Amino acid sequence: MSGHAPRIGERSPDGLSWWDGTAWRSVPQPAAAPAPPPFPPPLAPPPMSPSPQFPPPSPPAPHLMPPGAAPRAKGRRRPGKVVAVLIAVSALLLGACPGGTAGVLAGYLWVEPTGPTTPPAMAADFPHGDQRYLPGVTVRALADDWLKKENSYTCAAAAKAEASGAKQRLDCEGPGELSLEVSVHIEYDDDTHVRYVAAFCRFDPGANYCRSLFSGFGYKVFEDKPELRQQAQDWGAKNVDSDNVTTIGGVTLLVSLKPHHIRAMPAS
Amino acid sequence: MTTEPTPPVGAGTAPDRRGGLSWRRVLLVGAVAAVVGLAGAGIAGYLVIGGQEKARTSANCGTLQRCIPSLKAATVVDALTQRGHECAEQEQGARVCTLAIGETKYQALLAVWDGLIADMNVSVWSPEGREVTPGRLAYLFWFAALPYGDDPTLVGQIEGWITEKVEKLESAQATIGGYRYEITVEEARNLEIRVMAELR
Repeated sequence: MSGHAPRIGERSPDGLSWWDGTAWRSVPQPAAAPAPPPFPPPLAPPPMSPSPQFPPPSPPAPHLMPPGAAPRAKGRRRPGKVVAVLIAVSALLLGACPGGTAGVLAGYLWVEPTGPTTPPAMAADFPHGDQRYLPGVTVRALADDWLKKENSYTCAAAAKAEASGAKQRLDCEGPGELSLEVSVHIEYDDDTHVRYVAAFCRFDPGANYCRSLFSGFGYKVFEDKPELRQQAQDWGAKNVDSDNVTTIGGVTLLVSLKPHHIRAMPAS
Repeated sequence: MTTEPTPPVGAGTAPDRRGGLSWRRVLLVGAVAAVVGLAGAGIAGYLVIGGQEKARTSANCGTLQRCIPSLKAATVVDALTQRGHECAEQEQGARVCTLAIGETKYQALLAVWDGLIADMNVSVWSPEGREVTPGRLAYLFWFAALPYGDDPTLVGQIEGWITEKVEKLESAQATIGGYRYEITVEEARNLEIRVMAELR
């Protein structure tokens, strides 16, 4: 032992005793789990008077108890700081799991990106419904004036306008025997809204009737456009016996040999 | 008459300074920590995932698809109708808008979910189409740009990509700004583009 006097509550070097201020006292050892006695308990010894040298141990005063030596009979052991921190961290993590899951779900389900609420402006070239019609062309000018009056064609309404999806179609046939060889078809919504015109000529290539028909076709489609009328008329005559296409003033003219015809429609 | 002195509050329950905290206090700290963890992780998860969702260019709609955010299909249909296109509602709320100019057929099919556009199939068909006119390109550009009408950079990318493929007469696929684009080019006769949001 060192030379200095032990302090109250100090343990002996072997840890089995503690200093109560006047003498070394035994540190209570943890009670072992009671084991069943292998034999019947011995008879109780005869009562003995307590030895004056070894009085029955009494628990020391609380302020004299060494750390960790509190008797179990005093209640549950108080948690240390490490235990408290572990419990707090565990609780934090336990709370974070459902919280994080709920937060992620909420963010995924409830937060929506924002975008434009209106579509972008349409370019000038964007197709417009008004482009469906041949500009300046009327049913009256084609059917009544050109075909019926000038060329004695007969016209009748057809069931369906297949080429352009227009509301109405008028089929006009040449007079007499020409009815089997030449015909003109007009698809339109109303008199001033013509979508499509086609003229069929079933004569062999080189026939003057077809040349005259295609030339007149070009003229009538551009009748209200004097600056383009001659160009269209010439193109029809020149390309009568070919497969060709052109666009004049926003109108597409197309000639085909099989079947032999010319057709006009808005360019798009 | 003397009164019995009242014991000081807490007498006999004072924490043992040498034995650490009481269980009650530790449990209280644990409960507070759990609440803090719950709220903190919840807020953090919401902010992180919510931020990611906010930055996306497509919105949740349905179970296995995404939609163009904010832009109602009805708004698109109205714009087309005002331009003279004919629109009709089909099964399951899909909208189809068509316009025939001569023999050229413009058609846009919009798959709609809860008012938003989930998928677009846009085509221009012309039996005698020998060239791709500016009108046909403008039609494709407009639909392709619907998801990002307010982003000139992405709009430029999309238009450049479409122009390149049409000039090369080449069918292709690409992902631009979180949307999948599939373009089909059959010479100049048939141009078709499909636009749908990427799931991830």
